[in-house]
Formats: sequence, C-alpha cells, structure tokens
Amino acid sequence: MISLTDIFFVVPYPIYNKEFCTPYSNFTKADSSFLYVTLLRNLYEIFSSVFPKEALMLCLHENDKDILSADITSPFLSYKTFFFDTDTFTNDFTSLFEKRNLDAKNFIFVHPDFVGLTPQDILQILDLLQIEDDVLVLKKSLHSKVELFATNKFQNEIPHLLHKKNFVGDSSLKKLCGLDYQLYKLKNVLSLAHVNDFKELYKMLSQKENYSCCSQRIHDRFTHLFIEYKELL
Amino acid sequence: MERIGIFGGTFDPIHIGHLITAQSLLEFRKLDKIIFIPCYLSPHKRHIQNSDPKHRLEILKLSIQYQKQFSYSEIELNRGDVSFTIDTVRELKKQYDYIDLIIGFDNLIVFDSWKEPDELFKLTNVVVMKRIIDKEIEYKHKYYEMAAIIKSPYVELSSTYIRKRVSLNLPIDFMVTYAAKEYILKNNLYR
Repeated sequence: MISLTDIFFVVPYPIYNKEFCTPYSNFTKADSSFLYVTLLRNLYEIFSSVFPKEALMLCLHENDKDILSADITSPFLSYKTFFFDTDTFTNDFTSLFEKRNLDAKNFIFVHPDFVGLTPQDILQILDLLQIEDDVLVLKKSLHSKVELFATNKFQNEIPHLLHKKNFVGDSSLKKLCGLDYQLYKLKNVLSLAHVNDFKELYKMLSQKENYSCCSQRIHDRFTHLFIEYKELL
Repeated sequence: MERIGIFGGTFDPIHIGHLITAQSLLEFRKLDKIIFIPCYLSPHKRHIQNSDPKHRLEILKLSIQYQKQFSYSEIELNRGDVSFTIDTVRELKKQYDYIDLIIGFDNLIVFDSWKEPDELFKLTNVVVMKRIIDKEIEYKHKYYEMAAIIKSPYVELSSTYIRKRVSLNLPIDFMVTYAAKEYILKNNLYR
C-alpha cells in the first residue's frame, strides 16, 4: 500500500529565494523564507517516516531553483525535485504527472504551509484510500482552506485544479468534489496564513500531545522564530 | 427492554445488499427491530445531488413492508441538511433504552472525526460491519478497541450501480425488491 502511493508537495510560489518570497506578517523576507522552508521540511520529515523517499516529490517554484541548488544543507537536493514557472504551472504539472510512477494507485497532494499532521494521520489517510469506492480525503486548515487532499482514483482534471497561488481554491474544490468521490474530511490542521496563526503555532507546540507533529530539530527552528518575534505571541 | 439497531444511509435506492446485511445483524445481535434512517444529505457525498427524499423513502417503505422487524424513521429527512448521528441518537434515546448504532467499516476509520464520538459510545453500542473485502487498518484509534466489529455478508452491489443500470435501460431484477423495481420504473427515476 505504502509503495503504491505517490506524494506531491506543491509549493507554487518561491520560498527559498528570499528576494521573491512573500513576507509572512511583519517577518523579514529572510525569516519568512526560514518559516516556509521549516514548514516544508517538517511535513517532508513526517511523510518520510511513513513512505520511502522515492515516493516523495517536491514541486517548487522556478525562482527557487538556483537557491536550492546552492544550498548544500538542504535535505531535498538529492530527492525528486521539480521546478515550475507560475505561468506554465498547470501544463508543467500535467507533464510531470504523465511521467509519474505508473504503479501508483494512490496520490496525496500537500500544500506544505501547515502543522498538525502526524504519522498516525497519514496511516488513517492510507486506510481510507484502501476502501473499495473512489475516495477523496481532505484535510483543511482552520481557515477552511484545503491543505492536503488524497485520492485512490486519479482523474486528468486534477492538475488543472491546482491553482498556481492557492493550491486548491474554492472553485477548484467544488470541481474536485463534483468528480463523484466518496468524500472524507479529517481533523483540521493549522496553516500559517494570518498573524494570529503564529501565536496558535506557539500554543500548539507547547502542548505535550502535539509533540508528534514535529521533531526536536524542527521545533528548534520554530523556537528561533518565537524568540525573534515574541511580540506576536 | 426492546433492543433496536439503527441503520443509516442514503439508500438511493435501498437494495438487496442492505436488506441482507440488516437481516443478518438482526439475528446476530438478537435485536427486536432495525430502524432504517435515510439521511437527507450523505456526509460523504454532500456535494452530490441525491434523488428526491420522497422517492428514497417510498422505495425504502416498499422494500421493508413484509419484514415486521424492519422499520424506518424520517427523523433525518425532516431535519434537512447533513445530520449529525449524535443528534439522531439523542432523539431516539427518548424512546429506546437499548440502541445498536450500526456503521460501515469505513466509518470506523474516521470515527474520531465524528461529532461527540465518546458520547455516542455512552449512548449506544457501536456495531461495525466488516465485510470480507474490508482490509485491516493501520491506524487504530481508541474507538477501534471499543467498537463491536462483526463479520457482515458481502453482496457486491451498490446503489450507484443500480442507478447506472436503470439509466442504461438494463434490468435491476433481484437487485432491489420487486415493489422497489416497479416504483423506480413507474416514476422514471435515475434516467
């Protein structure tokens, strides 16, 4: 089951390239980049604990290409990483999909700007994908934005529904849900979209029951930001 | 004390598979009655337009008319929108002390996402129907241990398949009861 699943991390805007990175709240561009990369690394780590690295695919923005290639500390250098231009995102994504693992039966698409996912959540998603029906599993943020969706039936419309800025916007979600799937909505996650989310992140990571949401290494990276922006807490 | 089982679903339409499963549960759980509760909107298919509730209910009534231990409730149809099981259970608890809440194996996987799952376990016995095709699950939350998981017959039939056959002018004999079939054809449903 695990080897039959492909996971796509979709970040359709620059996060490594500080020059083009959209600032989060009043963060500097450098710290915003640090935050977004930490969120991505965290989810990548969590998925890596369940899946082999060959199943994980990173879809990043073209503007991150040179920066990431120069970052020898990045764990992503040797993995499957693809770069997309904003204007040709859908076409590029479609052609990536045509080259996908043809044995894969399940697909998980992740917009890695959130925390709150655990390895147990991933196993639960896999359990749902094993159901005989055509299944669509959604994880949304507290702001009702889709952060992850998984399916056991790939449809050609899917790459067209991944918006270049919003991952899955409301209209795309409507179309996606209209594709006659059995729909399961799981517990919400915390996305870092608004300034208050940073405070929520601090509260969340302070609770013992959320320790499985990130490793100590990732926790230390977040702590660096909590110290730097303590006025937001 | 009357022992009842509640069996929810879209039932669009109710078919022989539902009836065989219900009969088997009735016997296995030594129930006095099974109450079928059609939902107004399926929580897992709320984005898809179901057939008119009036027709779904009528087909249900016709399908269970000769089995005296089968009954139905319009509670969720009358409420409209997506119903939470806990609200339905609380309402039925006013009438019945003993309730088996019958759910499919897929619902057990996500039971921790349901509204007030602990309360559901307090008010009912959660009975999970596991068919031979349902694979063992990887993530077992605490409710997995608390539920009564019983083997249920597997009839390879779905309401979607029946609707599709009707739309293609193919026969649906033996998939639904005779009365249900007649009603579907007479009312020109699923075309």
